[in-house]
Amino acid sequence: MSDTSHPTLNRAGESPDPMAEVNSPVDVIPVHRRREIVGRSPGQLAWLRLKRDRTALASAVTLVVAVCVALAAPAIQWLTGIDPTDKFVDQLNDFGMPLGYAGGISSDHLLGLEPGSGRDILLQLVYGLRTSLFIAFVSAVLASVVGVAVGIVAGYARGWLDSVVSWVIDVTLAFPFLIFALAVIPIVEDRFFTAREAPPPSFRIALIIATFGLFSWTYTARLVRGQVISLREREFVEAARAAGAGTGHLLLRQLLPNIWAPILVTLSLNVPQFIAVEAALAFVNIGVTEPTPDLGRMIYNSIGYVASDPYYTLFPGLTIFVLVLAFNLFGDALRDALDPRSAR
Amino acid sequence: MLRFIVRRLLVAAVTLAVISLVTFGLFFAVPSSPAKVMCGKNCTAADIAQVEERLGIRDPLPEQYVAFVRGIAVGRTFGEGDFRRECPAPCLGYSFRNDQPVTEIVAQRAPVTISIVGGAAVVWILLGVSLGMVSALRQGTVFDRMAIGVSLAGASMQVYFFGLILLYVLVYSTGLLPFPSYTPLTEHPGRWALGLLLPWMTLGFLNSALYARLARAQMVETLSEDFVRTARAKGLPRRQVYGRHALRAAITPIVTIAGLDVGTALGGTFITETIFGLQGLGKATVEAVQFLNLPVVMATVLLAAIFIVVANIVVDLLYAVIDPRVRLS
Amino acid sequence: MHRRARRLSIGVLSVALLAAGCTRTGEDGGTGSENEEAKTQTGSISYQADDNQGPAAAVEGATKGGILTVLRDFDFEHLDPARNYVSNQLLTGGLLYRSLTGYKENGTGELLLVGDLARDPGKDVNGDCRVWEFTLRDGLTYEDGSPITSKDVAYGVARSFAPQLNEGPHYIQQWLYPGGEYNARYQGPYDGGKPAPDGVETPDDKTIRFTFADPHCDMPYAAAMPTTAPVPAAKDTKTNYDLRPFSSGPYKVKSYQRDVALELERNPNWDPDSDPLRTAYPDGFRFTFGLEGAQIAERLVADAPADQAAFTWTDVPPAVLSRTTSGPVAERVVKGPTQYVWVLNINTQRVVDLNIRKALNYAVDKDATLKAIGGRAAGTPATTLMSPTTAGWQEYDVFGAPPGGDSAKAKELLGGQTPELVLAHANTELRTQQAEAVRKSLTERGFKIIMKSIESSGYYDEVGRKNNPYDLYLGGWGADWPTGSTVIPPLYDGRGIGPEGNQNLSYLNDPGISAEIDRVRKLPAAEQDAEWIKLDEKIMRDLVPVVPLYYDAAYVLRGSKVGNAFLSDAFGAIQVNNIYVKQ
Repeated sequence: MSDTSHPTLNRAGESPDPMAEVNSPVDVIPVHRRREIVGRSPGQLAWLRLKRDRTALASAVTLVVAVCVALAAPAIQWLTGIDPTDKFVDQLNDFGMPLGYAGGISSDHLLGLEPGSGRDILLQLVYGLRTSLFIAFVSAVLASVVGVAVGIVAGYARGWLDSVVSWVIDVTLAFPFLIFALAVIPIVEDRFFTAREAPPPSFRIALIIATFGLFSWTYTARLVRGQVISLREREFVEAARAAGAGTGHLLLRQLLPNIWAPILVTLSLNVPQFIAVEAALAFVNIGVTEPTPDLGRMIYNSIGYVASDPYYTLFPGLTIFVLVLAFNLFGDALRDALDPRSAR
Repeated sequence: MLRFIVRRLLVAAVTLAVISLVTFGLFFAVPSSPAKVMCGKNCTAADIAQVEERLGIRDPLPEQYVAFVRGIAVGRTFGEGDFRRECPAPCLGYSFRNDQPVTEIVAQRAPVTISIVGGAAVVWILLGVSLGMVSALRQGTVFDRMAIGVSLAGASMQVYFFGLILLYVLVYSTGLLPFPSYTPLTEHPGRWALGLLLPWMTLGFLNSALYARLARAQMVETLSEDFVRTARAKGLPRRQVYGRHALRAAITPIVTIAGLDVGTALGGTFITETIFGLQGLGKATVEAVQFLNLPVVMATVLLAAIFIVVANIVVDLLYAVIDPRVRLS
Repeated sequence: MHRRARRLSIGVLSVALLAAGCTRTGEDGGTGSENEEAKTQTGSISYQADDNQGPAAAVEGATKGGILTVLRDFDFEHLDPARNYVSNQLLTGGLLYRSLTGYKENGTGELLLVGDLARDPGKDVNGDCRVWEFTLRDGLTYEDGSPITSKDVAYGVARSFAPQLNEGPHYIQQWLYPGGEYNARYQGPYDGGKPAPDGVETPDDKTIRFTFADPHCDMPYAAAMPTTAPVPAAKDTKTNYDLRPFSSGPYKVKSYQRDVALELERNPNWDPDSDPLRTAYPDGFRFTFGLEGAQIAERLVADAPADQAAFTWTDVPPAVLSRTTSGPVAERVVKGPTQYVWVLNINTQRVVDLNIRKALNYAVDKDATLKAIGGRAAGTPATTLMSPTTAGWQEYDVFGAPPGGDSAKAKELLGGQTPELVLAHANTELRTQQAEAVRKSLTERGFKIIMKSIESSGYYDEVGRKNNPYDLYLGGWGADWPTGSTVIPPLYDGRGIGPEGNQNLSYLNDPGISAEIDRVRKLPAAEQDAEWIKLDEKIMRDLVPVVPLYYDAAYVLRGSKVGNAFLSDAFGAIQVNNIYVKQ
């Protein structure tokens, strides 16, 4: 029970029972195999289950729409003829509040204007979505890649290397993320750019992604390590080893294909977490910098307006809520589909 | 058992040492000097040098670190002559901004954070686990679907969003609750609870989602296990089967997550504290980072790490107590 | 199956939407500038006996008793009189200790400098502003009943020389030791130092005499700073004094938990008859620290029973402003100009081309920088270097550009070139939004702008370094007393520029201006006011070291049970000397 000393820490509710994790689709024999799908591979089975799940379908559609909107941001800009940084200051009153009804909603500005700056909310939202999704996706992939690499090595190597990796995981988990980000982001920017160069927004984005990656690989690593430990003594691995397969082959060809399912689930559940935390970074002024539109910063700026200009709060708030919910639902459905034992 | 604890404590000590070293190194690399921030509006180079001297940040980093560690063991003094300040062991540093040993600051702030997290944890565990249990026993019913739906929505909401909306609805618009504040429990238990009700509700609701889903999944799984079936077959009453056998097996992973959540939450309540205007450790840390009040940063980072490390150990021990299948080695 | 959950959460939001209502936002929503522009400073020094005599005039309808709460964002940096320099801190300090002189105000805009501990605002012994003598009132006592002597005032001045207590104003210190660092030759009474600096004498327990090498006709104003507050040597706890100054004022510290709360209670040994400034109606004050600006504003808008006897010095943030303009909330808004002027500093060491500096004055959209922080409630567009609250101020406008800027003029002055300039700003939300507004307007009008964000706590350190690499940066400055002598010399006299810690952020170093400053300084106090504003205009016309952005305004809220909460003209914030709790 090595896993008990490193309990899982996934906020999104991954089943933490180590016994459940051991069952990868490859070696599971479904209890009641249905007649019409006899002979299908576990991957196909999972796909079928996923397709049949209406929640999964709905959330997937939501996500696809969100991604499409984000990708199509330049098209929306072309259609409306508004740049996300355009300021319609003349359409604000003396207090900086948008003129007209419902936060300045009009045929020109479909979701109204940002109070204070006078920027178009629709364009800010669409471009902000782009930034946020990009950060979340890339961070999640990065965390998974690092986690898988470390996890496989630790699980396979055993001995001192395993102990060291487990300990590094412990240290990482015990280090407060926010403090680290607060200290490191400004320092790194100062190191890379002279005082007369503005760090391009992409640099800050890269830093945020790197920070997320640095702190979020631990869960995947632990998971993969546990799986590898349970699999490495199995007959098929033994057989490959006996047949003279090298370590690389064993790791990549024999072990990895058997553990991709939980990795995929973790990945899909990590994305919404990063979207949410990215918004939290704006709270301490280390989020994405102006003038790059960003959903997280937009939410942070808009929260105070919930009573004065609720529409400004509503649109980004609703967007992030629906997005995170869709990701969570999809991640859940994916897990259910990949793990036939969990009955829902 | 004893060997296990000793070994874990040793590893924990090494972990904390590394974390303190990393924190030390990080803030040494900060470009602007804390002396400048402290020195204020009309400050000359000589003044800054003097403040740096007083802060003890003119020595090379390794020496500073050794002084820091020695301070924890035997205490240390800062400054000279008429401006000498004693910092008794365990000295985590001396905050010149507050003119207080850092341990005193931590001692003042920690109860706030512990009260927030402790109360919220009770809410989220009770609410989450009972919701999940009932859902599991009534699988597929409307109640089940609703409970899981609400909990998913909760898990998709953020503290900064949900908390603020609660503030507007319950405090600013209707005045149903007073603005959150902290009164020590020992001073007035009623006011303590009333002042913290809002953060408890917020954190409790958001986190209970996770526990509801977890408890439900565990319970569903446990209910299908052989020993439960055996117990049912033996003719034990339902209440005893669910309450004693199934619950006990299902609660293990919940304890794991809860222990770590409490540990993490204690170190990361900055946003909750900010939203509700409470002066806990999280806020102390971020303010200290902004003012480059390094001793406070060091102390709070270490404390947060201790919470997590200790939570880890406690969880492992609890495991053995709750789940007879687990043996510590 | 999860639809229900989604609907529930939307339900919560829609409650908030309903609470806010769906009313139309109109142009008239925010014209917050009717009355405050008319009010112009009439500061003067009064030697009249009835102005200088205690007790302070009673406030009509005021009642004694109650605890006033002050909601604050951050804790005070320092309450030690030697280290106290910022306006809100000075106001709070005034509850705990008294200086030689002080400002007498009644809310009508009349501002008189009178004697506080001293019987009058000081005697210019030889009529050349070089020797100043102050005589203390009779019967002054500390919180323990012991008498306040002029020796304690001298000790207070002496300890302000200590490098460990250097955060306060340094006017008197610099005047006592002119040329070079103020504390190069004397570092306070500690570690074997003399008990009093050179030039400070106390012939008896009631008299204190300052002797300066140069004429300083501003001495009565400088003596109003807490530098001259009495500190008994026996009670001096050095750096710890910050936490518990020994009280010579109407209140004393009851409890102080740094960054959390400060409580003041009555000092029974304060004699109202000895004090012409303070009525001290409330039984105590409670300062709560660590609240967000929005929380403070929302709580005061809501006016719940617990917050009715509360007020704040923190401006209402833009997000809440629009809900403070009508109904009962509007009556609880306290607003008006402060002594602060915000400018876009041009680093004249780097931007040497006068045409570019002029072009900047045409190109910046002052309106947008204001809207980013709350529009006209936050201030009014500026054209001068000094604030309208300065004595003798007169409006002038060298460029005549509209507040939104003049694109054509800017481009004409640039003559086709595209200057590349670095704009530095503090990384807080509001300053970032302001800088972004500046960037936007400059970029559209022919400049290429690089934004540099600086951690807010170190912002003034960074731009205060002489060799800072930035071209443009926002900065606000408030006069220490309401005359031009604490604006023009500290900000535009190039001789004071050092390697670090500069206040002259445009690094203007022009011998002609420096000579003018010397000339005006030597004039009698009464003649200086008109000359400072002339010099102000000359600097803007000939050298253009800054783009004046706006005159800052205070826009704060009070609870419904706070009485007589008017803005102090001396401090640009709600005064506390004569405030009271409505019963």
